[in-house]
Amino acid sequence: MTSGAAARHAVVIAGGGPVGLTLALELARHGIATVVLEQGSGPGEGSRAICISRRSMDILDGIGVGEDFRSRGLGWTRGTSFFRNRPVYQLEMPWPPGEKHYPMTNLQQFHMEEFLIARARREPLIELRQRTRLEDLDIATGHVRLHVQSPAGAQALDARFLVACDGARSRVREALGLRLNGRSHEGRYLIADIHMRSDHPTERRAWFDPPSNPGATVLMHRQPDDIWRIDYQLLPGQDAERELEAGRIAERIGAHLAMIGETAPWRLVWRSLYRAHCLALDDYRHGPVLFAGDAAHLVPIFGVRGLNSGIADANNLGWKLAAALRDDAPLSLLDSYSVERRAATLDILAQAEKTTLFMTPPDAGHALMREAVLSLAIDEEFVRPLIDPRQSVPYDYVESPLTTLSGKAVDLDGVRAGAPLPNLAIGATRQGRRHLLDVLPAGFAAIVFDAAGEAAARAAFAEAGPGCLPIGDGEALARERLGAVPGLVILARPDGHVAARLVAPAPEQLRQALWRACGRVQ
Amino acid sequence: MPLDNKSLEDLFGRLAGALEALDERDRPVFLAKLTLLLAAEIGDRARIEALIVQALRHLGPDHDGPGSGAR
Repeated sequence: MTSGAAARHAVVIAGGGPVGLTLALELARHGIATVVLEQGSGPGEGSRAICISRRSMDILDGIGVGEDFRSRGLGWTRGTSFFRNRPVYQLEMPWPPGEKHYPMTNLQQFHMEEFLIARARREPLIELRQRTRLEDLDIATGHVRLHVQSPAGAQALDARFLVACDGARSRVREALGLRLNGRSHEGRYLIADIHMRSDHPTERRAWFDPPSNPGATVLMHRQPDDIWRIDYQLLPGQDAERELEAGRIAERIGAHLAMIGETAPWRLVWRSLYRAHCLALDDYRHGPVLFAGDAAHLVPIFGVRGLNSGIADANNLGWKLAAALRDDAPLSLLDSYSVERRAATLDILAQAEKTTLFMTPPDAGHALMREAVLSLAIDEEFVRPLIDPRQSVPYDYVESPLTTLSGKAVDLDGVRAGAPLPNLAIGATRQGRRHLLDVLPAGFAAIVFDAAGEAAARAAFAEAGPGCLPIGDGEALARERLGAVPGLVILARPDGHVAARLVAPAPEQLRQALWRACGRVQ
Repeated sequence: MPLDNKSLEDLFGRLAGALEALDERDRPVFLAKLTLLLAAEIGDRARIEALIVQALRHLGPDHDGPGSGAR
């Protein structure tokens, strides 16, 4: 039983995985202290989530771990899909000039956790309590009481806000009696890490019905440390327990490696079983309790949306929670977290559902059409887009109540209203190029392109208002990508999304856009 | 433009021959590939959907076919 008086905290985060720690670091960036409760005692095992999107890397830069991820991770831009053993589709992900990061970076989740834990430990505003299990919780007026168990014994904590980042089997979700809604797919995948030296470049490879594993789909990704991640589909009727035996895995992976001409010795490092889910909570906010990452939604791994959408959740929630706690915004701003991120999840699920139907056909009809497409794709280009894995892309909050649309064409020029700003090279220092998100003023910011835009922004906002970032004529690339026109002011949110694009705005228009972005206009 | 009888007869025979030359497993795959190629040639989504409904008629346990809407 819990004993003693409960300590009070502004924010407690249940779960010290990548999403929970990203949120804690986001909140620290905005000056908010957190307590992070984590059952484990350090980074987890196995590669698990391995592909980090460009947008996630931008977010990780913002919390001070991007360079760790970049220097350790393996960037990549392309992929190849095979039908049996013939290439049928080439995935090419754009890497526009001036963008800071690769479209995708591969890094094992335990490395991500190592970097995030180390960063969190250096942050005085974060109290990371490992080996601490959340037992139960009660929602009271104005706070949440948490009952936790740690090596020091049972304790109670009071939090003004609790954020559940405690994963697929969320204890918080269970304690509140909430259910994820949606559907789970029948297809199962065995996921394995092997250690093997190979010169094959970093790319996504997918084999459909390969001779090594007839009828199944096999995915292969290179990771740092000579680790290769191999995911292969288990067919209906195959016994999962037997398939997880090391000998059986060696047989199947050995056949695959032989088929693709890999002859170096290899050893199995880690394995697990995976099933595709398309599930989400109906609302990510329940009073003072908010949900993020797998606690809020479970999406298929195909297209690498799981971890990346969790990081986007943390990025979205961090500034809103900070603004609400500082009374810079009404509590209702937190409702927009659920509105925006639920919309993102539904979009992800729609994309992932299509990919999953192709990766693991649920019935004979889908299996037949997939085989027809793959067979045709050897010669016919028109069917190849059906093989596209629809890799994760950032979600634009264009329909968000926080986004101001002028109703003019400028809303859609360059980076449209609601979209995240690209992290473009801008200006130069002795150390090299700087990038837009690195130099953007903290909090809300006004990006301007000429004297008229700057005058409008400075007339609208007092000293304590959004900072102003002028982008001069010398930055042709950034001006083009951002859709610069005379008098344009881009109002950027603290999470780097565009709140408004206004041309020659009156000060009142800009102030209205800021109020709307803070949740003050219904 | 509709096919004349001679062409229709020739295609009937050509399709039968192609199906006969394939083993049982590959026959449905061949027909699905052919369908996708013909759909690409037609290029009219509404027309193709109407043809799918038409082709479903008189198939299935109730001889109306799943999703045909015919009752």
